[in-house]
Amino acid sequence: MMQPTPSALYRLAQVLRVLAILALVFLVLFLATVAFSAVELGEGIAKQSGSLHHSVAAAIVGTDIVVNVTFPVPNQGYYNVQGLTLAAIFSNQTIQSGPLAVTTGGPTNIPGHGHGNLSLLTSFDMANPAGPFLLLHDAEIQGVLWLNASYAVIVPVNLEVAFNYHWGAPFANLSYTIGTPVPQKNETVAIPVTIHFENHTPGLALAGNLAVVVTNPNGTLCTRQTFPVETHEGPVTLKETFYAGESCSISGDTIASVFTSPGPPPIDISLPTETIP
Amino acid sequence: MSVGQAAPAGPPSPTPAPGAPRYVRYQPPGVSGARIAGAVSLTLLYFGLVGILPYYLEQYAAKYGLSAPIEPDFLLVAGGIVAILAGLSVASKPTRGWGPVRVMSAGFDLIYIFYLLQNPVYATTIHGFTITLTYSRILELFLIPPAIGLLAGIVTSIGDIRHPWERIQLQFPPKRWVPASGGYGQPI
Repeated sequence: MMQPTPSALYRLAQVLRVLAILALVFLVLFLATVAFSAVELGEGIAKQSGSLHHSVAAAIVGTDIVVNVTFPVPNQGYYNVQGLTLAAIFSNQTIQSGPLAVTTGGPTNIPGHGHGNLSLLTSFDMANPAGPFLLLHDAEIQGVLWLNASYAVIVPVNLEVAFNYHWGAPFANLSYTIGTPVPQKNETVAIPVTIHFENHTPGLALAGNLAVVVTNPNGTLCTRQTFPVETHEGPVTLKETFYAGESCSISGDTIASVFTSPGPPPIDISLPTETIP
Repeated sequence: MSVGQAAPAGPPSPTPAPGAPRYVRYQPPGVSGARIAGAVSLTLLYFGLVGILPYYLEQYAAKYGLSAPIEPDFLLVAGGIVAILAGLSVASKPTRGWGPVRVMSAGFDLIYIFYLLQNPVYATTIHGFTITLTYSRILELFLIPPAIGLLAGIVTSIGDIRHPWERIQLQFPPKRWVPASGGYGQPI
């Protein structure tokens, strides 16, 4: 028996029905793989989170202390993480009303079944009013981090994380211990000075010169000595002898230090002054 | 024609002219099988995709502080309507009501997705982490199948009006033919 020839309308409806079913099946499968991949990505990041502290580097750039945290982001899922960007603000209301530092990172693309490294650059400007405090004192700083990324092309993800950040001061516990001045034959006095500080900034190598300046209360320069400093994390103790004119009383004078390095990048950081008791 | 009602046997055939070929007439299928298929579809869809499963997933996630922007009761009701219309669509396939039911089903799916698109942001806080997931793009993609389905329903409805028995005859190949005096059906 002859099969009737389908009309154009019937064939069009049939094509549309098949298309609708195919689109639905494709979308459901796509969504399932996206969900599975996202779980794989999350598990990979959770496994790697322990290595966060092994990839911290810091440098002084001008008047900024720049902390660079790099951490690997493994992507075990099928889909790419695209345009991964981060931003963070650090603040501590007791130190300074405004933000202490800002962080930027990315954009980074991490291919599916691949690895990417995310670098977070945080600049603490020592020229800020809070600078002198942060140079000498460790502090607990509150941070808020925002992450934006696009997963599997069509899923925008935003992450907001509130966290506490332990700031390690590069010249923590800076102290000057002045010994008894010893008069010299050439109308000068030799002053034994012990300078002590601790570099608590993770990953920060201090390599440069510490210029120590002693001025009397009326502003006259008594002496200026420069010492090379090269240290990574840890305590630094400099035992030096200063020579000053006999007119300098030392007691009541002001002692100040400037840490400099020709670079690159050039460094010029003034440390807070102290009055010699 | 109401859904679930069997299409009547083909149209009355004119009296054949002397010497004209003799025809057999197409006997449309019964709707009992389609009703069972519709009920099975409705149940599977409601429990597995649009109603009960999402409801319990949302309840389960809520225990861990993951609350979705959709009320669980709304999921049950809207999912129920989606499933009922889809089940009706399956049940009405051997009838001329299939096209309009498909239009209604796809139309409701579109309205439901457009409603979900009004707040397509999933935000949750876990251990101080606030994660925001915007799924508007996914929902927009999920507009495609019902949009095509709506078109298919409209074309099917028009086709069923212009060629009343063609689709049913093609989709449900005849198990038996009723002898007819001619005019419609297959020539012997």
